[in-house]
Amino acid sequence: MTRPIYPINLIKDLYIKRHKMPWDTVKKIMSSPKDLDRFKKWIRVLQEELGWEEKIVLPIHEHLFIVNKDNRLIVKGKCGYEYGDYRENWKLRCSIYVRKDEDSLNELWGELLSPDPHWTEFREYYCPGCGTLLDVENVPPGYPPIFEFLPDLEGFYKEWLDEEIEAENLSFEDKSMDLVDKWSKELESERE
Amino acid sequence: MGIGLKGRSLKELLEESRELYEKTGYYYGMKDLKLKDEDPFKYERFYWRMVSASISARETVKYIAASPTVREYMELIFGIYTPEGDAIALSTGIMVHVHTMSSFIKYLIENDYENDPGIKEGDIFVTNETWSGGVHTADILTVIPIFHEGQLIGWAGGVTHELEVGAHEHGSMTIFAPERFSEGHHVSAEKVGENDKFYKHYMLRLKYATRMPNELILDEKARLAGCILIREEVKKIIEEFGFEYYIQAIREVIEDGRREFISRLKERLVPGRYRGYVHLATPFKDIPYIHPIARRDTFIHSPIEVNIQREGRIRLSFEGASKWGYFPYNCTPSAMDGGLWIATVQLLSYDGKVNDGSHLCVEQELPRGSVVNTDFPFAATSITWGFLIPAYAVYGMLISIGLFSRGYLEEVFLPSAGNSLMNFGGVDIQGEIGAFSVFEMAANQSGARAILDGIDCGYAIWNPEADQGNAELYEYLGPILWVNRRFIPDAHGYGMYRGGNGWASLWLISGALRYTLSCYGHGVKTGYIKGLFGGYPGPAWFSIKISGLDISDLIKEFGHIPTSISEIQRLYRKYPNNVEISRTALWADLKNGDIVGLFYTGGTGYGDPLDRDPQLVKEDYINGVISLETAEKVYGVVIEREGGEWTVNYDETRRLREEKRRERLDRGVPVKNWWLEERERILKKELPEPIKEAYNQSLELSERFKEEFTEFWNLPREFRF
Repeated sequence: MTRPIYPINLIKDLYIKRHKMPWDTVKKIMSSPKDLDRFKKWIRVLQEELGWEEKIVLPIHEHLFIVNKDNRLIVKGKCGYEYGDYRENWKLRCSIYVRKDEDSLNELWGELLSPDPHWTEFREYYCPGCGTLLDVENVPPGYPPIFEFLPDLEGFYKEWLDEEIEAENLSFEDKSMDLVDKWSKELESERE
Repeated sequence: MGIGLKGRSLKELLEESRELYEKTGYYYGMKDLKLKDEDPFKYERFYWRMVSASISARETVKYIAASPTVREYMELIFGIYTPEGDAIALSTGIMVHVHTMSSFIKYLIENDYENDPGIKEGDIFVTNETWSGGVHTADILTVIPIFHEGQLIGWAGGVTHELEVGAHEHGSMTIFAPERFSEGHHVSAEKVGENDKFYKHYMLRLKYATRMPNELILDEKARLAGCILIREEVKKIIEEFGFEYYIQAIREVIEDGRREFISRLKERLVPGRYRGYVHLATPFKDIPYIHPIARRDTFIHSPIEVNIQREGRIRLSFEGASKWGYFPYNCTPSAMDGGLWIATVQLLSYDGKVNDGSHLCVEQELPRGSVVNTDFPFAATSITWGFLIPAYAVYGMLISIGLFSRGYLEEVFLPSAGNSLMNFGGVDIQGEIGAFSVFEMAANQSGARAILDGIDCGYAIWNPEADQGNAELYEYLGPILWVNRRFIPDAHGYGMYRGGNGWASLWLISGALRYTLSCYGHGVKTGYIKGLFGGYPGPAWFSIKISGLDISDLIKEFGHIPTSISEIQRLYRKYPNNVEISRTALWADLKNGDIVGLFYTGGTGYGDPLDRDPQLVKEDYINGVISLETAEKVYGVVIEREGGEWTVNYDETRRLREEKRRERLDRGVPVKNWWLEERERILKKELPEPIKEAYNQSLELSERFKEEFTEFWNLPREFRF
């Protein structure tokens, strides 16, 4: 199977131009075997576009990137806002607005197509740095925020890419509860 | 003396196959792909002969079957299996069944059908049971054995989706069945014929099993014909390649499929944990005709966790799913396998060797007693798709996160077409009995991509050949006339790339003697599943029933039959007693002159709507997909009319978007503050009853859910609502 090698500008176009790229080109990329150096070029494109000093380790969202900052892997927003350890659900550090009554839900699609606040709420998570809408969860009240992606970076780099990765917080574990525990302790001390 | 290879029983062969895989990690212990290495061209020729035998059977059956579901919507698939029931090669079609026929054959083997009722050349086995490979009542599976010199050397199989299943409701999928006893025609892993001929009593049974016996019987015969075509083709392949080659090659092809899947996974994704959530509201408390045991409001839900493991395997977990219930949305492992494969073949395994080799690389954790793996033997499963469609659309969305991370933006895709179902049935004025599910939902709308909007009207997660079909065919089958199929403005998941836009059909009832409908759809009460990276879910569902108004008066008033949503809303305001806009399922009598309508919700969005290219917003407005109000309110785009042309005011757009971002930060609060407030609400148990019941079920059924839920909200471990 012959693997194509695309010029970096093509990967950049895919990111920047997107729907403005000629459909024939996109279709050809879709139908062909994948270019094996895509990830390297993808990271290069992002690194150039964002112009950050920190190395981008993994993009996890249109707006969010895991970067290596002083040997610690953190989530950083496109606007530069830093969210903290990538093993913590970044949503816990967002600004949140919840549509949970008829008026705020009706704002979305009007009455006819509107969800029912007795069955759901719409949570909008915003980037505290720039107000970008990062996620919309339609979940019943009480459902904990969904931690969508916790990558196994050591496995990815060392075993799949055969590349080195160094950082002090590589271990593959969900650290979100550390933050929630902190909130719980603060709550308890306030009570005391 | 067994009927399998070298006089062994099929059970022995199945056990040996499992042991070899467990011991070596390779399918059938095939560490070396001898035939592939020796002569790759011959090997590929062999594989594609097998695939083309399956495709050829499928193409033939498409034309000789009778149901519009098969003829118009291509709801069928054929495949070839090893003696132990592992899929070797499949046709194109409803890839739901990559593994379901395999499960059926294994069911026959494990339950010793070899000795009772016996398996010989020309025998026909059929099932539609979800405990023996099926996905729901409407999908009927046929398998026949293939013999060579007295030994069973494989199986041919085919599946079609039926138009009508003879349930207490009309149509192919009942919306309200509380238990299996009201979901219609069941064939329970049976031998239904021999010598390539159906038993007379089986044909008699089919004649009285459903309201559309001709379609059922002709589809049954067509499936058998497809299987026989495959069987005879396999014999030719054996003649051409030799028996020894055949037996070695079918094993290598599956091991090859396994390896291809692992490399595909490592090429496209990132190992790690991906999490999503699926829900389905069934507010059935006020449905007039429902069985008393099912008359309740239920919230069905489940967390979905996808673990992409370093060794290139996928492990899905539905730990935390709510309990099975007296509704037909319960699932079983074979149904869940079906759901898994529809999404996997679209996002990852859309080429190469799609067979049971890939299946060896995926595993699903399905808690017993929950809605994903019911332990009630009589649970209704006739519309497992109610749960499967959103669940595996979420799985597809999670896979898309991995594709995004690797930079394959062209592959990112949200397979989130919600479905709506309209069942019609009754008797027309000529005394003709008719019943069917309208299958135009085979061309719904997809979710967005990372580089393009969702498909507006041409996608179904469960059928790769999306097609609305010919309305005229259904008009021939029952006293209904389409008066409209029309997009509804703004009916999509908003986003930088929006989901495909929702639409509605309206039917006029004409020429009916006694007629009924039942309908339901994704998005009821909650809106459809979530979008990605800031994209919105699709909007909530509704249906329409207009009765007791004279059509000719309406034509006089409107100049035509009112069909647009604004006209329907006008009617609703004017004649509130005659126009019913329902936001839950409906089961109703119909009379001539009634107009009924069904909404098919929009696909989910991708990315922040404020990042949408203003030109796309303008085009959507010109095409009637969005309103001017939504252009400004949701997308922050100011469109103006200038010299007869619509243009984007970029300066105003920039200003408006900045303002909207500021507004967001003004109304938002830190998640910690929200957590404190929500925690109080939970402690006071101030949640709606169906939601509390769903949480209690999850807390009972799953230790992990209990641990995570109580830990997150800092609640006592034994907390219950």
